[in-house]
Amino acid sequence: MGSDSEGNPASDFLTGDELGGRVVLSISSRRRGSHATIEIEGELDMQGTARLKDELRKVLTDGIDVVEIDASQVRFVDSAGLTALLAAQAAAAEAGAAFRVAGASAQFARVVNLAGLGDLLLPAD
Amino acid sequence: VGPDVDFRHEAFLYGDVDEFLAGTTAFVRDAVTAGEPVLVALRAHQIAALRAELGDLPGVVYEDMPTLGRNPARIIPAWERFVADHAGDAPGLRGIGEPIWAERDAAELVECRIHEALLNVAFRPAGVGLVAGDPPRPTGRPDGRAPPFRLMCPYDTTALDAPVIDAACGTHPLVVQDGETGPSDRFRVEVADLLDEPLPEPRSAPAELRFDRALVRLRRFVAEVATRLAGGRLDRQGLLDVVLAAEELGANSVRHGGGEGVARLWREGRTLVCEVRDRGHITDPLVGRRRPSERQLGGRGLWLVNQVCDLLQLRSSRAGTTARAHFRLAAG
Repeated sequence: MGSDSEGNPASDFLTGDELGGRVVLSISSRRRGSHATIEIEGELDMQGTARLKDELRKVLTDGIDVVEIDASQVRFVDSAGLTALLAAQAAAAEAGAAFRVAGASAQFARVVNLAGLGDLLLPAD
Repeated sequence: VGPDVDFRHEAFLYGDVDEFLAGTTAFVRDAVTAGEPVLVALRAHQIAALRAELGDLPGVVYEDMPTLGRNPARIIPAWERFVADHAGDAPGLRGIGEPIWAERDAAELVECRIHEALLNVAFRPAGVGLVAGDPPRPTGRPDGRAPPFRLMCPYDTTALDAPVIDAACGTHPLVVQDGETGPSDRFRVEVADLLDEPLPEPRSAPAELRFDRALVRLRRFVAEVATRLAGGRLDRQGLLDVVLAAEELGANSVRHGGGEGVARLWREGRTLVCEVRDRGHITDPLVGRRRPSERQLGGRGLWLVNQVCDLLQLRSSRAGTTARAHFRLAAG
Protein backbone atom coordinates (compact mmCIF):
# COMPACT_ATOMS: atom_id res chain seq x y z
CA MET A 1 0.00 0.00 0.00
CA GLY A 2 1.34 3.40 0.81
CA SER A 3 1.22 4.87 -2.64
CA ASP A 4 -2.56 5.10 -2.77
CA SER A 5 -2.81 6.56 0.72
CA GLU A 6 -1.85 9.91 -0.76
CA GLY A 7 -3.77 12.13 -3.07
CA ASN A 8 -7.25 13.52 -3.21
CA PRO A 9 -9.65 11.14 -1.47
CA ALA A 10 -12.44 12.30 -3.76
CA SER A 11 -10.63 10.89 -6.76
CA ASP A 12 -10.31 7.31 -5.53
CA PHE A 13 -12.59 4.30 -5.31
CA LEU A 14 -14.67 5.71 -2.48
CA THR A 15 -16.24 8.47 -4.49
CA GLY A 16 -15.31 7.91 -8.11
CA ASP A 17 -18.29 8.86 -10.25
CA GLU A 18 -17.53 6.17 -12.76
CA LEU A 19 -18.08 3.58 -10.03
CA GLY A 20 -21.53 4.88 -9.14
CA GLY A 21 -23.34 2.30 -7.07
CA ARG A 22 -21.21 -0.62 -8.21
CA VAL A 23 -19.25 -2.76 -5.73
CA VAL A 24 -15.74 -3.27 -6.92
CA LEU A 25 -14.87 -6.76 -5.78
CA SER A 26 -12.87 -9.44 -7.46
CA ILE A 27 -12.31 -12.83 -5.86
CA SER A 28 -10.09 -15.34 -7.59
CA SER A 29 -8.04 -18.34 -6.60
CA ARG A 30 -4.97 -20.12 -7.77
CA ARG A 31 -3.53 -23.46 -6.82
CA ARG A 32 -0.02 -24.81 -6.46
CA GLY A 33 0.00 -28.47 -5.44
CA SER A 34 -2.03 -28.81 -2.28
CA HIS A 35 -1.80 -25.09 -1.56
CA ALA A 36 -4.61 -22.73 -2.60
CA THR A 37 -4.56 -18.94 -2.51
CA ILE A 38 -7.74 -16.88 -2.61
CA GLU A 39 -7.12 -13.33 -3.65
CA ILE A 40 -9.62 -10.67 -2.60
CA GLU A 41 -9.43 -7.37 -4.39
CA GLY A 42 -11.64 -4.34 -3.77
CA GLU A 43 -14.49 -3.98 -1.31
CA LEU A 44 -15.57 -6.95 0.77
CA ASP A 45 -19.00 -6.14 2.22
CA MET A 46 -22.14 -8.05 3.18
CA GLN A 47 -23.11 -8.64 -0.43
CA GLY A 48 -19.64 -9.86 -1.33
CA THR A 49 -19.47 -12.51 1.36
CA ALA A 50 -21.45 -15.04 -0.72
CA ARG A 51 -18.76 -14.87 -3.40
CA LEU A 52 -16.04 -15.56 -0.86
CA LYS A 53 -18.01 -18.56 0.36
CA ASP A 54 -18.46 -19.84 -3.22
CA GLU A 55 -14.76 -19.46 -3.98
CA LEU A 56 -13.80 -21.29 -0.82
CA ARG A 57 -16.20 -24.13 -1.60
CA LYS A 58 -14.62 -24.43 -5.05
CA VAL A 59 -11.14 -24.48 -3.54
CA LEU A 60 -11.84 -26.94 -0.75
CA THR A 61 -13.04 -29.74 -2.99
CA ASP A 62 -9.94 -31.72 -3.78
CA GLY A 63 -6.88 -32.45 -1.68
CA ILE A 64 -6.02 -28.95 -0.54
CA ASP A 65 -4.26 -28.77 2.79
CA VAL A 66 -3.45 -25.06 2.98
CA VAL A 67 -5.82 -22.21 2.20
CA GLU A 68 -4.23 -18.83 2.08
CA ILE A 69 -6.09 -15.53 1.84
CA ASP A 70 -4.40 -12.66 0.07
CA ALA A 71 -6.05 -9.51 1.42
CA SER A 72 -3.32 -7.14 0.27
CA GLN A 73 -5.65 -5.60 -2.32
CA VAL A 74 -8.66 -5.17 -0.03
CA ARG A 75 -9.63 -1.50 -0.14
CA PHE A 76 -12.63 -1.77 2.14
CA VAL A 77 -13.88 -4.43 4.53
CA ASP A 78 -16.74 -4.34 7.02
CA SER A 79 -17.67 -6.56 9.95
CA ALA A 80 -19.72 -8.81 7.66
CA GLY A 81 -16.57 -9.34 5.60
CA LEU A 82 -14.60 -10.26 8.72
CA THR A 83 -17.35 -12.65 9.82
CA ALA A 84 -17.18 -14.31 6.39
CA LEU A 85 -13.42 -14.78 6.83
CA LEU A 86 -13.95 -16.35 10.26
CA ALA A 87 -16.52 -18.66 8.71
CA ALA A 88 -14.04 -19.50 5.96
CA GLN A 89 -11.47 -20.36 8.60
CA ALA A 90 -13.94 -22.68 10.32
CA ALA A 91 -14.89 -24.30 7.01
CA ALA A 92 -11.24 -24.87 6.14
CA ALA A 93 -10.59 -26.42 9.54
CA GLU A 94 -13.57 -28.71 9.08
CA ALA A 95 -12.14 -29.82 5.74
CA GLY A 96 -8.81 -30.49 7.43
CA ALA A 97 -6.99 -27.60 5.78
CA ALA A 98 -4.78 -25.02 7.43
CA PHE A 99 -5.97 -21.44 7.01
CA ARG A 100 -3.96 -18.28 7.06
CA VAL A 101 -4.04 -14.73 5.84
CA ALA A 102 -0.90 -14.07 3.86
CA GLY A 103 -1.23 -10.45 2.86
CA ALA A 104 -3.15 -7.54 4.33
CA SER A 105 -3.71 -4.01 3.09
CA ALA A 106 -3.43 -1.20 5.62
CA GLN A 107 -7.22 -0.70 5.69
CA PHE A 108 -7.85 -4.44 6.10
CA ALA A 109 -5.33 -4.62 8.96
CA ARG A 110 -6.85 -1.60 10.66
CA VAL A 111 -10.38 -2.98 10.67
CA VAL A 112 -9.19 -6.44 11.74
CA ASN A 113 -7.24 -4.95 14.65
CA LEU A 114 -10.13 -2.73 15.74
CA ALA A 115 -12.36 -5.80 15.74
CA GLY A 116 -9.85 -7.59 17.99
CA LEU A 117 -9.13 -10.28 15.39
CA GLY A 118 -5.47 -9.58 14.73
CA ASP A 119 -4.31 -12.97 16.00
CA LEU A 120 -6.69 -14.79 13.68
CA LEU A 121 -6.86 -12.72 10.52
CA LEU A 122 -3.49 -11.03 10.07
CA PRO A 123 -0.28 -12.47 8.72
CA ALA A 124 1.91 -13.79 11.55
CA ASP A 125 5.19 -11.94 11.19
CA VAL B 1 -29.06 -3.32 44.30
CA GLY B 2 -28.66 -5.59 47.29
CA PRO B 3 -26.10 -5.88 50.03
CA ASP B 4 -24.11 -8.47 48.07
CA VAL B 5 -23.21 -5.95 45.38
CA ASP B 6 -19.54 -6.24 44.49
CA PHE B 7 -19.37 -2.94 42.60
CA ARG B 8 -19.01 0.31 44.49
CA HIS B 9 -19.51 3.34 42.24
CA GLU B 10 -18.85 6.66 43.87
CA ALA B 11 -18.87 10.25 42.65
CA PHE B 12 -16.08 12.25 44.26
CA LEU B 13 -17.02 15.95 44.20
CA TYR B 14 -13.98 18.20 44.55
CA GLY B 15 -13.67 21.96 44.39
CA ASP B 16 -9.96 22.50 43.87
CA VAL B 17 -6.70 20.71 43.20
CA ASP B 18 -5.87 20.22 46.89
CA GLU B 19 -9.17 18.53 47.54
CA PHE B 20 -8.70 16.46 44.40
CA LEU B 21 -5.24 15.29 45.45
CA ALA B 22 -6.24 14.59 49.06
CA GLY B 23 -9.14 12.38 47.96
CA THR B 24 -7.42 10.52 45.14
CA THR B 25 -4.10 9.90 46.90
CA ALA B 26 -5.86 8.49 49.97
CA PHE B 27 -7.94 6.24 47.69
CA VAL B 28 -4.85 4.92 45.89
CA ARG B 29 -2.79 4.48 49.08
CA ASP B 30 -5.59 2.49 50.72
CA ALA B 31 -5.72 0.22 47.68
CA VAL B 32 -1.97 -0.36 47.66
CA THR B 33 -1.99 -1.15 51.40
CA ALA B 34 -4.73 -3.70 50.81
CA GLY B 35 -2.89 -5.24 47.84
CA GLU B 36 -5.56 -4.11 45.37
CA PRO B 37 -4.53 -3.24 41.80
CA VAL B 38 -5.54 0.28 40.72
CA LEU B 39 -6.19 1.76 37.28
CA VAL B 40 -6.14 5.56 37.26
CA ALA B 41 -7.70 7.16 34.16
CA LEU B 42 -7.34 10.93 34.29
CA ARG B 43 -6.03 13.85 32.27
CA ALA B 44 -2.25 14.18 31.86
CA HIS B 45 -1.77 17.08 34.28
CA GLN B 46 -3.77 15.26 36.96
CA ILE B 47 -1.72 12.11 36.49
CA ALA B 48 1.49 14.14 36.78
CA ALA B 49 0.27 15.75 40.02
CA LEU B 50 -0.85 12.42 41.47
CA ARG B 51 2.45 10.72 40.59
CA ALA B 52 4.39 13.57 42.13
CA GLU B 53 2.49 12.97 45.39
CA LEU B 54 2.54 9.19 45.35
CA GLY B 55 5.83 8.27 43.71
CA ASP B 56 5.95 4.87 42.07
CA LEU B 57 3.62 2.46 43.83
CA PRO B 58 3.25 -1.23 43.01
CA GLY B 59 0.06 -2.24 41.23
CA VAL B 60 -0.89 1.27 40.14
CA VAL B 61 -1.37 1.88 36.42
CA TYR B 62 -2.18 5.20 34.77
CA GLU B 63 -4.04 5.86 31.53
CA ASP B 64 -4.82 9.09 29.72
CA MET B 65 -8.60 9.51 29.92
CA PRO B 66 -8.97 11.89 26.95
CA THR B 67 -7.36 9.17 24.80
CA LEU B 68 -9.05 6.17 26.38
CA GLY B 69 -12.43 7.84 26.76
CA ARG B 70 -12.62 10.41 24.01
CA ASN B 71 -15.58 8.33 22.92
CA PRO B 72 -17.10 7.55 26.34
CA ALA B 73 -18.46 4.27 24.97
CA ARG B 74 -14.89 2.93 25.07
CA ILE B 75 -14.53 3.38 28.84
CA ILE B 76 -16.64 0.44 30.06
CA PRO B 77 -14.68 -2.07 27.94
CA ALA B 78 -11.46 -0.65 29.43
CA TRP B 79 -12.73 -1.20 32.99
CA GLU B 80 -13.95 -4.66 32.05
CA ARG B 81 -10.55 -5.54 30.66
CA PHE B 82 -8.86 -4.23 33.82
CA VAL B 83 -11.17 -6.33 35.99
CA ALA B 84 -10.73 -9.44 33.82
CA ASP B 85 -6.94 -9.05 33.75
CA HIS B 86 -6.57 -8.61 37.51
CA ALA B 87 -9.48 -10.48 39.04
CA GLY B 88 -7.49 -13.70 39.34
CA ASP B 89 -6.07 -13.45 42.82
CA ALA B 90 -6.64 -9.84 43.84
CA PRO B 91 -8.58 -9.26 47.07
CA GLY B 92 -10.27 -6.34 45.34
CA LEU B 93 -9.85 -3.86 42.51
CA ARG B 94 -9.99 -0.10 42.36
CA GLY B 95 -10.30 2.51 39.66
CA ILE B 96 -10.31 6.26 39.37
CA GLY B 97 -11.98 7.55 36.24
CA GLU B 98 -12.97 11.11 35.42
CA PRO B 99 -15.02 10.96 32.22
CA ILE B 100 -16.13 14.61 32.21
CA TRP B 101 -14.08 17.77 31.96
CA ALA B 102 -15.06 21.33 31.11
CA GLU B 103 -14.24 21.05 27.40
CA ARG B 104 -16.75 18.25 26.78
CA ASP B 105 -19.48 19.53 24.44
CA ALA B 106 -23.22 19.21 25.02
CA ALA B 107 -23.60 15.93 23.13
CA GLU B 108 -20.60 14.44 24.94
CA LEU B 109 -22.06 15.43 28.31
CA VAL B 110 -25.27 13.55 27.52
CA GLU B 111 -23.34 10.45 26.46
CA CYS B 112 -21.05 10.67 29.50
CA ARG B 113 -24.10 10.65 31.75
CA ILE B 114 -25.43 7.60 29.92
CA HIS B 115 -21.98 6.00 30.27
CA GLU B 116 -21.99 6.57 34.04
CA ALA B 117 -25.49 5.05 34.30
CA LEU B 118 -24.41 2.09 32.15
CA LEU B 119 -21.51 1.34 34.50
CA ASN B 120 -24.14 0.32 37.06
CA VAL B 121 -25.59 -2.02 34.46
CA ALA B 122 -22.28 -3.40 33.16
CA PHE B 123 -21.03 -4.15 36.68
CA ARG B 124 -24.33 -5.40 38.01
CA PRO B 125 -23.96 -8.25 40.48
CA ALA B 126 -22.12 -11.22 39.02
CA GLY B 127 -24.32 -13.89 37.50
CA VAL B 128 -27.26 -11.56 36.93
CA GLY B 129 -28.50 -11.35 33.35
CA LEU B 130 -29.76 -8.06 32.03
CA VAL B 131 -32.26 -8.64 29.27
CA ALA B 132 -33.55 -11.75 27.59
CA GLY B 133 -30.69 -13.59 25.94
CA ASP B 134 -28.03 -11.58 27.70
CA PRO B 135 -25.27 -13.65 29.26
CA PRO B 136 -24.42 -13.20 32.93
CA ARG B 137 -21.63 -10.76 33.53
CA PRO B 138 -18.29 -12.57 33.37
CA THR B 139 -16.33 -12.27 36.59
CA GLY B 140 -12.85 -12.99 35.32
CA ARG B 141 -12.47 -15.85 37.80
CA PRO B 142 -12.93 -19.55 37.19
CA ASP B 143 -15.03 -19.88 40.33
CA GLY B 144 -17.41 -17.23 38.97
CA ARG B 145 -16.97 -15.02 42.01
CA ALA B 146 -16.06 -11.42 41.30
CA PRO B 147 -13.72 -9.51 43.56
CA PRO B 148 -15.12 -6.23 44.81
CA PHE B 149 -14.49 -3.41 42.38
CA ARG B 150 -14.52 0.11 43.71
CA LEU B 151 -14.67 2.92 41.15
CA MET B 152 -14.20 6.56 42.08
CA CYS B 153 -15.35 9.16 39.55
CA PRO B 154 -14.00 12.62 40.33
CA TYR B 155 -16.19 15.62 39.37
CA ASP B 156 -14.81 19.15 39.42
CA THR B 157 -17.54 21.25 41.03
CA THR B 158 -15.72 24.49 40.17
CA ALA B 159 -15.24 23.81 36.46
CA LEU B 160 -18.47 21.94 35.70
CA ASP B 161 -22.01 23.33 35.59
CA ALA B 162 -24.45 22.45 38.36
CA PRO B 163 -26.66 20.23 36.14
CA VAL B 164 -23.62 18.04 35.39
CA ILE B 165 -22.96 17.57 39.11
CA ASP B 166 -26.67 16.87 39.71
CA ALA B 167 -26.61 14.26 36.97
CA ALA B 168 -23.55 12.63 38.59
CA CYS B 169 -25.51 12.31 41.84
CA GLY B 170 -28.20 10.52 39.83
CA THR B 171 -25.81 7.97 38.34
CA HIS B 172 -23.71 7.20 41.43
CA PRO B 173 -25.18 5.38 44.43
CA LEU B 174 -22.49 6.95 46.62
CA VAL B 175 -21.28 10.53 46.79
CA VAL B 176 -18.06 11.66 48.45
CA GLN B 177 -17.91 15.35 49.33
CA ASP B 178 -16.05 17.36 51.98
CA GLY B 179 -14.46 14.18 53.29
CA GLU B 180 -17.84 12.51 53.88
CA THR B 181 -19.14 9.48 52.00
CA GLY B 182 -22.88 8.97 51.86
CA PRO B 183 -25.60 7.42 49.75
CA SER B 184 -26.98 9.64 47.00
CA ASP B 185 -30.70 10.18 47.48
CA ARG B 186 -31.01 11.06 43.81
CA PHE B 187 -29.49 7.80 42.56
CA ARG B 188 -31.69 5.54 40.49
CA VAL B 189 -30.99 2.46 38.43
CA GLU B 190 -31.85 3.08 34.82
CA VAL B 191 -31.91 0.50 32.10
CA ALA B 192 -34.88 0.73 29.79
CA ASP B 193 -35.01 4.50 29.40
CA LEU B 194 -31.30 5.00 28.73
CA LEU B 195 -31.73 4.65 24.99
CA ASP B 196 -34.69 6.99 24.97
CA GLU B 197 -33.13 10.43 25.54
CA PRO B 198 -34.27 12.84 22.84
CA LEU B 199 -31.75 14.05 20.27
CA PRO B 200 -31.63 17.68 19.10
CA GLU B 201 -32.51 18.51 15.50
CA PRO B 202 -29.53 19.07 13.20
CA ARG B 203 -28.32 22.65 13.28
CA SER B 204 -27.79 22.75 9.51
CA ALA B 205 -29.73 21.15 6.66
CA PRO B 206 -28.54 17.55 6.29
CA ALA B 207 -27.84 15.65 3.09
CA GLU B 208 -30.11 12.61 3.06
CA LEU B 209 -30.18 9.19 1.41
CA ARG B 210 -32.68 6.38 1.71
CA PHE B 211 -30.76 3.13 1.35
CA ASP B 212 -31.42 -0.60 1.16
CA ARG B 213 -29.23 -3.69 1.08
CA ALA B 214 -27.08 -2.30 -1.72
CA LEU B 215 -24.84 -0.68 0.87
CA VAL B 216 -22.30 0.37 -1.72
CA ARG B 217 -24.66 3.24 -2.59
CA LEU B 218 -24.59 4.34 1.04
CA ARG B 219 -20.77 4.19 1.06
CA ARG B 220 -20.46 6.29 -2.10
CA PHE B 221 -22.99 8.81 -0.78
CA VAL B 222 -21.29 9.13 2.60
CA ALA B 223 -17.83 9.46 1.07
CA GLU B 224 -18.98 12.18 -1.33
CA VAL B 225 -20.91 14.17 1.25
CA ALA B 226 -18.35 13.78 4.04
CA THR B 227 -15.57 14.94 1.70
CA ARG B 228 -17.60 17.99 0.73
CA LEU B 229 -18.71 18.84 4.28
CA ALA B 230 -15.24 18.39 5.76
CA GLY B 231 -13.67 20.84 3.34
CA GLY B 232 -10.19 19.33 3.61
CA ARG B 233 -10.34 18.74 7.37
CA LEU B 234 -10.65 14.98 7.05
CA ASP B 235 -7.71 12.87 5.89
CA ARG B 236 -8.08 9.62 3.98
CA GLN B 237 -8.13 7.48 7.12
CA GLY B 238 -10.71 9.77 8.65
CA LEU B 239 -12.89 9.47 5.55
CA LEU B 240 -12.60 5.69 5.62
CA ASP B 241 -13.66 5.75 9.27
CA VAL B 242 -16.79 7.75 8.46
CA VAL B 243 -17.59 5.36 5.61
CA LEU B 244 -17.02 2.31 7.85
CA ALA B 245 -19.27 3.72 10.58
CA ALA B 246 -22.04 4.43 8.06
CA GLU B 247 -21.61 0.96 6.57
CA GLU B 248 -21.92 -0.79 9.94
CA LEU B 249 -24.93 1.29 10.97
CA GLY B 250 -26.48 0.69 7.55
CA ALA B 251 -25.78 -3.04 7.73
CA ASN B 252 -27.64 -3.12 11.05
CA SER B 253 -30.60 -1.43 9.36
CA VAL B 254 -30.54 -4.04 6.60
CA ARG B 255 -30.30 -6.95 9.03
CA HIS B 256 -32.34 -5.79 12.01
CA GLY B 257 -34.10 -2.61 10.96
CA GLY B 258 -36.54 -3.72 8.30
CA GLY B 259 -34.07 -4.02 5.42
CA GLU B 260 -33.68 -0.31 4.80
CA GLY B 261 -32.91 2.98 6.46
CA VAL B 262 -32.27 6.67 6.04
CA ALA B 263 -28.81 8.21 6.31
CA ARG B 264 -28.22 11.90 7.00
CA LEU B 265 -24.97 13.83 7.19
CA TRP B 266 -24.35 17.34 8.39
CA ARG B 267 -21.73 19.46 10.05
CA GLU B 268 -21.89 21.26 13.38
CA GLY B 269 -18.83 23.45 13.76
CA ARG B 270 -15.83 21.16 13.87
CA THR B 271 -17.96 18.05 14.11
CA LEU B 272 -19.21 15.94 11.22
CA VAL B 273 -22.32 13.95 12.12
CA CYS B 274 -23.41 10.80 10.31
CA GLU B 275 -26.86 9.55 11.28
CA VAL B 276 -28.65 6.34 10.33
CA ARG B 277 -32.31 5.74 11.18
CA ASP B 278 -34.33 2.58 10.74
CA ARG B 279 -37.33 0.70 12.10
CA GLY B 280 -35.32 -1.65 14.29
CA HIS B 281 -35.52 -1.78 18.06
CA ILE B 282 -32.39 -2.24 20.18
CA THR B 283 -33.11 -3.43 23.71
CA ASP B 284 -29.59 -4.11 24.98
CA PRO B 285 -28.26 -0.82 26.40
CA LEU B 286 -24.68 -2.15 26.43
CA VAL B 287 -24.61 -2.90 22.72
CA GLY B 288 -21.34 -1.74 21.16
CA ARG B 289 -19.63 -1.68 24.56
CA ARG B 290 -18.85 -5.36 24.88
CA ARG B 291 -15.44 -6.33 23.57
CA PRO B 292 -16.21 -9.06 21.03
CA SER B 293 -14.53 -12.41 21.59
CA GLU B 294 -12.42 -13.97 18.84
CA ARG B 295 -14.81 -16.88 18.61
CA GLN B 296 -18.08 -15.10 18.04
CA LEU B 297 -19.43 -14.80 14.53
CA GLY B 298 -20.98 -11.38 14.06
CA GLY B 299 -21.89 -8.83 16.71
CA ARG B 300 -18.98 -6.54 15.89
CA GLY B 301 -20.73 -3.76 13.96
CA LEU B 302 -21.46 -1.26 16.72
CA TRP B 303 -18.20 -2.15 18.46
CA LEU B 304 -16.35 -1.08 15.30
CA VAL B 305 -18.41 2.11 15.05
CA ASN B 306 -17.42 2.99 18.60
CA GLN B 307 -13.75 2.40 17.81
CA VAL B 308 -13.67 4.74 14.80
CA CYS B 309 -15.95 7.60 15.84
CA ASP B 310 -15.46 10.20 18.56
CA LEU B 311 -18.99 9.86 19.91
CA LEU B 312 -21.92 7.57 19.21
CA GLN B 313 -25.45 8.58 20.14
CA LEU B 314 -27.70 5.57 20.06
CA ARG B 315 -31.42 5.95 20.62
CA SER B 316 -34.01 3.24 20.26
CA SER B 317 -37.64 2.60 21.05
CA ARG B 318 -40.50 0.68 19.50
CA ALA B 319 -40.76 3.52 17.01
CA GLY B 320 -37.28 2.77 15.64
CA THR B 321 -33.57 3.33 16.10
CA THR B 322 -31.45 6.40 15.48
CA ALA B 323 -27.66 6.27 15.63
CA ARG B 324 -25.47 9.33 15.26
CA ALA B 325 -21.72 8.94 14.88
CA HIS B 326 -19.73 12.12 15.50
CA PHE B 327 -16.34 12.79 13.96
CA ARG B 328 -14.11 15.62 15.11
CA LEU B 329 -12.57 17.39 12.13
CA ALA B 330 -9.03 18.72 12.10
CA ALA B 331 -8.54 22.37 12.95
CA GLY B 332 -8.52 24.41 9.78
